[in-house]
Amino acid sequence: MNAASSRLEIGGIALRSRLFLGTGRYPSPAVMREALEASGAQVVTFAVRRVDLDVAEDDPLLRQTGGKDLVYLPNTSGASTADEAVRIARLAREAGLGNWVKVEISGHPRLLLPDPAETLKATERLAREGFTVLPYTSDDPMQALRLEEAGAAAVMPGGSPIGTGLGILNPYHLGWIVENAGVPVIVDAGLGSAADAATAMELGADGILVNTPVAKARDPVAMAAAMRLGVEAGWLSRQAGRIPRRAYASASSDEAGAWFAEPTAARGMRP
Amino acid sequence: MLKRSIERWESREARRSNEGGGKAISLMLNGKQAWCEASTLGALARSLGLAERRVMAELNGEAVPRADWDAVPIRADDRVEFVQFVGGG
Repeated sequence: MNAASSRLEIGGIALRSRLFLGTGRYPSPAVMREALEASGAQVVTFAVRRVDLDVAEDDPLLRQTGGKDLVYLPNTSGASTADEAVRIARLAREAGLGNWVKVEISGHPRLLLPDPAETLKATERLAREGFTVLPYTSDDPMQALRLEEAGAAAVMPGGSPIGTGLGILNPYHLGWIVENAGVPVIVDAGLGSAADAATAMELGADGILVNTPVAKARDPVAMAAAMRLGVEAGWLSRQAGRIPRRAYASASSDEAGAWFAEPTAARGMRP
Repeated sequence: MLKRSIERWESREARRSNEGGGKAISLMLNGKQAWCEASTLGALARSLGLAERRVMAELNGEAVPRADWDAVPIRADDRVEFVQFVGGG
């Protein structure tokens, strides 16, 4: 395995990290910047919101991320239809920070699960308009295929609902998505800790996107570093190839040369 | 303190009338009804102190590239949105 083959490529950009980091809900912009550095992430997500015209404030967020070698991934959160998501994406592109967009269309206020029909429509339209589209989707293998057909540059299935920290609720579906995907798979939502990051990568994900588990950790900067290591460990573990799961033990010390009798329980074993 | 804020208000009004040159019109600005004398999107952005900030603009549901702001006229009852990047996942 060489360094070149280990780079994840999306939209023609070879990324230096498989960890994507969200920028919301940190205790302060300074903590966000430190967490970003500790994470090693290159792709960072943002939301697009109205300027508060009653407050004369500059954008502190972009001051924290400016001047770095980052790939900006604005999301379409706040949209509940394809039309709204397309409007947000077109506005975001006018910021002059690239043409990537995370299609995020939630149709349910408590679950925040993506609306599959609207997500598919928005992905199709934005891909046609030349955007690099990364749709946030539920962990549905068929929907992932549909999104790929619609022109998604990567698909981003959630492990569990956004911000729940429940981890990967359906590893089978995620495994199937990975097995069938012709584009990179980024596990996007619901991860809670570095262990979940490693699990996602071991299941074959090409990367993960986290926000809340870092921003809301007791120590966001330390958790950002843990996530970086979790992603690296999981990815290496996947490449290394885990052993198959077995129903019974198999001694790691050679049995040949042992000079005591077999344990008594062995006599009760059925052949 | 009061004097300074009056001066600031006067200079802003002067700037507005220079750029507007016409009567105030009513429009929907970021979802609220507002009155402005600016005749273009660019002039409106300047009057709001947004010209130097990394903000994006939408006029009646269509994103407007910043390079076009000064050429795009504002008319009565237009819907204008100024948006920016904020933290998000």
